[in-house]
Amino acid sequence: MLLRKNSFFASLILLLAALSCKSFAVDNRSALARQNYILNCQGCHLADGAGFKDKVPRMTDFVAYFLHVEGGREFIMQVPGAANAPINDRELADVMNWLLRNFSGEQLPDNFVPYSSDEVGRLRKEPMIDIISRRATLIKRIQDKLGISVDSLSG
Amino acid sequence: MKWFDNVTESVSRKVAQNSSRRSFLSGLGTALIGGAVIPILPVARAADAHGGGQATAPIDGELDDPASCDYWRNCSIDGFLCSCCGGTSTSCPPGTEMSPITWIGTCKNPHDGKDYIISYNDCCGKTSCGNCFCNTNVLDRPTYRPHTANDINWCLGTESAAYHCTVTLVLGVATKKA
Amino acid sequence: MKKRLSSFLIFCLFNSFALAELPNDKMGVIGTLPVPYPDHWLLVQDASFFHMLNGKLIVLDAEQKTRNEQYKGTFDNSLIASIAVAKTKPEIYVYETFYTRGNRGTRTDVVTIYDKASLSPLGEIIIPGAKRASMIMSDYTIRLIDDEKLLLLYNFTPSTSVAVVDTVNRKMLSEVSLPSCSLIYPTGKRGFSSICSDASMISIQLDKNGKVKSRNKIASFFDIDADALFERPAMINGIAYFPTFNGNLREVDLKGDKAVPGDSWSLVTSQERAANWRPGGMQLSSADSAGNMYLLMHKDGAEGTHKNPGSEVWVFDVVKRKRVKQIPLQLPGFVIEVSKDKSPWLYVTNVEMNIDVYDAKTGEHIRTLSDFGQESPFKLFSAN
Repeated sequence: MLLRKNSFFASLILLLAALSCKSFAVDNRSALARQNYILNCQGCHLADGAGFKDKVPRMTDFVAYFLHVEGGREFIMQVPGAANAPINDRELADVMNWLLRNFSGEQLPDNFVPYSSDEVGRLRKEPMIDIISRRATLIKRIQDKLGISVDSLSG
Repeated sequence: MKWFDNVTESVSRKVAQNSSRRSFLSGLGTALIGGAVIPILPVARAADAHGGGQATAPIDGELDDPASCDYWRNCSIDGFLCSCCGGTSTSCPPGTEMSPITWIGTCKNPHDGKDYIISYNDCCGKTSCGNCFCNTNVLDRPTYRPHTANDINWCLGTESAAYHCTVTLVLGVATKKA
Repeated sequence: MKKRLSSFLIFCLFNSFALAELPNDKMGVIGTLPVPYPDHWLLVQDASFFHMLNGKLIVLDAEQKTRNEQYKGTFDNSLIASIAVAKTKPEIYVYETFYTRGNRGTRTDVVTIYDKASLSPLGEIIIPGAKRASMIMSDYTIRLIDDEKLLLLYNFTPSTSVAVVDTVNRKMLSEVSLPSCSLIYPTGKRGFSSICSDASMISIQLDKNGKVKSRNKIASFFDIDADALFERPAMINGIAYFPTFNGNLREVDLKGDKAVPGDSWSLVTSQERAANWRPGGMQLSSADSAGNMYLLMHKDGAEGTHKNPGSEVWVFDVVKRKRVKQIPLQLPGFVIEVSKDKSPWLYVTNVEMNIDVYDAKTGEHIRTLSDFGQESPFKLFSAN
């Protein structure tokens, strides 16, 4: 009886170990994305992506709207806070995908294609000069297309 | 840094000689020998690059004393320690406001050897506390890269930008890069 | 009788001297200062680091021997103001922050315009939005351009922007938002450049109404982590000479519409590099009217020493790219300023918070300005 119980638990432990190793490999990139968000973005955009009043743009329940309009996908990737972050293209792509899913999952378009490191590398080479008017144009497009009324900076 | 000790000593002696007025001189002047003087910004700093890998340094009282500049969490701090100002290393003194916009770094905890992500939030809305000024400029860079610059006052998200002191909040453990 | 008469006369004479009354003083006499200020006058901005609300600007005559003769006047500035001293008019511009209840209440940012002679406000311009950059003071947070007709102000919220102010009509003209680029380096006919967070630059030209006429992006040209440019260059004849953390010098030409990064050269010999001589300090650079650059230097530099006080000031001929003088300091210093006259004097805030005065040509220490009510004199302005 004892022996059977032991071997059952032993198998269970092995199974759990195997499962957690696999999920650890997947979760590791996600954990790194979250860590990169904390180290490079959270200082201003805050832990839940809420941003701050009219000083720091809000991501929560908002940022994925940009993916619905032309130019939006490029914009959120090219803002200096993202483009100039001291992390490589793959890590930046992971952060973008992580924060879109975690802060604005419900606003993601059905055909959402995650950012790839190639795309990020390409977009990073085009520096953005005039953030404010570009954002204003995109906010208007979001308002017109989705019928939401948004405050231009805090969303 | 022998020259540091020599200068500190000469400053302290001179201060003692002219001590009619400012005891702050011994704080500010000697702290200045180590670096700059105003609250610093959010910075992401690799703990292994800071301090040249002190993982095997002996654990002494100072590493565990929140009121010491050598407190392990204070590895990237620039400002007055709230532990000396009526607050603690994780809470602001009465009547101040903790700024949500902050600077974030990583420091190695000597007890478990792990790199912790530390948020250096400022407590704002009152005049300078004036006690326990600490400053380190390792991996600090000029203000054109704000999130690694310590010359900026980060009381940005508060009703008043008057800087009082700084706390050190653990946000999590920094995992190794994949 | 004669004796009594002469005694009486002597008595009267004596009394006329002894008891002659002082004339009454006139009430309400206020001093004024000579403008332009003499060449060796020095304006000292005290950050009042332990009570930043009560910053001071103290005017000193560095040629005098005693404190009372040195001390010329004072005005206040609030919460680590950004200050610019005009050269072509008797005005000083102070970009500062006030709250209605001291360190709390409703915030207002203003540019207060002070008169050099009376040290009294001539007027103020309110800058809306509560955006003023709050940081250690620097020349490059506030600059006059276009023959001092326009005043540029650096804002940081953390979004960055530059407010443009008309100094003649005393009103704000515009706000130029920047894509995470910082500070104000005057460029070209009527413009400025800023350094961006990826080590690139942006250059902006304005029209006379302060509106953007052109924007140019300059590609990244240095490595912030490996060898950062200090944000306080010496500006000489339209070229910004940026010292770097590791002891190099990067030139950036700001004469045209857009910044043009130029050559890099070493500030140190290979022996000096081996001893890790590096620039460092707070206001670590200055220039004289002959076009020489002055830098605070420290030995045994390493990662993290870039704000250490310097034990020497080195003087460079920037055209020949050679050091022409080494000035050892009596006490380490972290703020320098050089006067702009033909007999330049070097002023150094030292680690005791006093100001050492040196002859910039000979390196001779002339005197120390001390005990003038200062606490944290973090910025010096030569009078002219």
